[in-house]
Amino acid sequence: MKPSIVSTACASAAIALGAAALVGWWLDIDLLKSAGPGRVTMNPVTALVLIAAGVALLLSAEPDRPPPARRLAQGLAALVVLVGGARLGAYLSAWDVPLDGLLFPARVAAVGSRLAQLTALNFVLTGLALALLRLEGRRVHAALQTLLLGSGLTTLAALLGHLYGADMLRGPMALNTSLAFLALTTGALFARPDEGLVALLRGDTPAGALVRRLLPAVVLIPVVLGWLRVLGQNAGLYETEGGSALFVVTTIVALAGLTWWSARSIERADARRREAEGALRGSEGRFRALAASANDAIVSADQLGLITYFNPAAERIFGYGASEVEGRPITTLMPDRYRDAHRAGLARYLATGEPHVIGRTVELTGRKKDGSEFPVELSLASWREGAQELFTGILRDITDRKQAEDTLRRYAAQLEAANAELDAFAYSVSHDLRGPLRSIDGFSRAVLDDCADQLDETGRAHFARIRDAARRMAGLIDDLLNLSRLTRAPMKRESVSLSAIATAVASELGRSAPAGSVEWAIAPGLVADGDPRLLRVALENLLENALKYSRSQPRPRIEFGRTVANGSQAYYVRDNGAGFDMAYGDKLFKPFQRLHPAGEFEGSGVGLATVARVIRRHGGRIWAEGQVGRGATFYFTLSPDQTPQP
Amino acid sequence: MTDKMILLVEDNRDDEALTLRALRKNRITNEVIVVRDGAEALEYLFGTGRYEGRDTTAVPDLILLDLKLPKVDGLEVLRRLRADKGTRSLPVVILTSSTEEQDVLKGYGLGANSYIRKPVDFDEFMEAARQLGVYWLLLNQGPPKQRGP
Repeated sequence: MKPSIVSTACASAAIALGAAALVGWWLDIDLLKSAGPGRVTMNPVTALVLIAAGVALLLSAEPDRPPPARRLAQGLAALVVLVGGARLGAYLSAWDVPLDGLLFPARVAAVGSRLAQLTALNFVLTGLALALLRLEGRRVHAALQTLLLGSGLTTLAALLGHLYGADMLRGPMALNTSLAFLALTTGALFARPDEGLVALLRGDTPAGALVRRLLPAVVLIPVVLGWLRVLGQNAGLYETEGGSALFVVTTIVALAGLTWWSARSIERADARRREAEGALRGSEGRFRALAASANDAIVSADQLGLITYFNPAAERIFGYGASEVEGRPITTLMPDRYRDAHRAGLARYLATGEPHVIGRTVELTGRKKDGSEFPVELSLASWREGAQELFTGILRDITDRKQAEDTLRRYAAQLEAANAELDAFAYSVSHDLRGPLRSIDGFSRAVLDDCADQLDETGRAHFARIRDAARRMAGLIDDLLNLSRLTRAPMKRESVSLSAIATAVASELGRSAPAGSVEWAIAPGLVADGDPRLLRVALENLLENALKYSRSQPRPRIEFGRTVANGSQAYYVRDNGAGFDMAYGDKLFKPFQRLHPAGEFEGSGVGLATVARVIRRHGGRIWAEGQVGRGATFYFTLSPDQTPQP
Repeated sequence: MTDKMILLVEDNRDDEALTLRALRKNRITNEVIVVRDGAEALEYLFGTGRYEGRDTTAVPDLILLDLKLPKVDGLEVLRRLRADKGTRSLPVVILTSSTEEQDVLKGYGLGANSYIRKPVDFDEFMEAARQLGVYWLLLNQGPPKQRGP
């Protein structure tokens, strides 16, 4: 609840009590004049002054009222003090101010209503307090608390008098007057919520909790016990001395119990605090141990940008000792040219709270103690500690990584240059090597045509061989070129139906082979990720190869499918043809390596090398199994091997 | 076979001899002008340099163009030829060793009428020359000749 609401409510209550009494006097209603039948009445002047005090409090309930309201409040407070002072003066001297009968004199005289001394004293105390309520200063605080304590105790005494039926002071304060004072004192206390008793009560500290718990008990226990004692004595259970003893004992027991209970609760709170401190020390220790053993530099800074922590790795990386840099600006660790940007960034973050670097990893340049610069990777975190914004950065020296990246880039550039050179080389091979071959073949033919009569059979045969060789070499050049093109052409990756390609290739091959002589077994629905053009080249070569070596069989059979081999999904092409000796299996995929004499099977020996290149470009593997005379199986995968999950 | 004239742009003497031989063996007796580099080809066609004063209305009926030529390469010759009004519509057959996709694409892109790879096998070359002659000198209806000035 807002303290100003308590103040306002209390002020309203005091005004209501005063107003009710005045109405009571005016209309002659006894219940309104006093708080109950047969009780002392509130003097009409008292009622009027209470209303004035209530209004003064109402005007002071909020701290920032306009000056006229404050002046009015202080005027009313002065009136309250004046009335109380005048009455007290009259009691202390012979000089009497006829205050009692100022209003409704006849009715007042009839019941002998007076403005009690205690009431007068309280008017002086509360009036002064109300006058001081909106003033500042240490003395004012002390005076205010003293005045309100005085009025509170006076009011309590009066209330107890009513409770116990005692005629404590001559002319006791009426019950409704006491309640009004209680309200005024409480309201005035709550008008300054940040000091004295109220501050303590509202405080979020263990002391506040203790006061909240103890104060009501300390006040109420003696009050209740005293009341019970009076009741018992009036009933004749014990005489005055016995009653005192009983009262003292019960009070001791109750307060001792209260003390013990408070001690226990303080102990519990303390245990919790110690536990929290231990946990804090533990996490602090964990952080220190982590930071001390970390390979990366860990540097903390406050919101002024001053270094507060510098771990051993930071000492190693930057060359500074922790004691050298702690307390110095974080910009010490940066090249000069970045310092302004850093300061601007820090200021912007503190002003807007919008992070640019925080929570991300960025690459920056650091500066060592010897002035040398090096690339760092920074990840930055921030947190609040009280009103302070603190930062911790983890910095990694990435010199090596940068160098590796540079090296990699250089290699890539070299590779690109080498590829370009290879392109140029292949181009010139394609163009220039064929020229001389054309001459060899063309002029051999010319000799055969023009000088046929000067050549015998052997001479003609020699020229035929020359022409043969030239043509074969042209074929080899073409095969080499195709192989090199396969390596260089950019590769696509898309979904490719291997079954469809194999079927198409088989039907093309079937057209050139004697019809119906070969049995093709192509598994349907095999789809792979890859380059359709390259995969077609690979399947053409594999199926052509299979056909070539199985054609001599009485019943050639060529199979294409998928299986699990060597722990991974592999495609395969199988034939029942000539097969090969596994001892030479590794030569199969090298260009121009042939396991069979050239006369036996046609071809240059580039086909399988081409297939191997296509498979390798897809990141896959190719291998073969076979036996002489029992056929061969070629397996291939189209992506890097995935080790089967256990 | 008519009195049509062929311009052979070829730097290799062997290829020149073989081409001429292949044409003669196929009884293609038309006049063949041989130029040995791209620059000479342009000078001949536009009547400049070594061919200063040549009657440029006497344009060839077929140009056999090699790609890899000294000085000005074949593709450049083709580009300049297609850029000039007088030679824009001349039939040009690229006759070369290269089968690089780039060359084929560029050749057609610049307006070549045909692209033929010289076969190593002279028998095949003979056949190619025969078909060339039949097609371009007999079957094909060339662009109408410009009258002289």
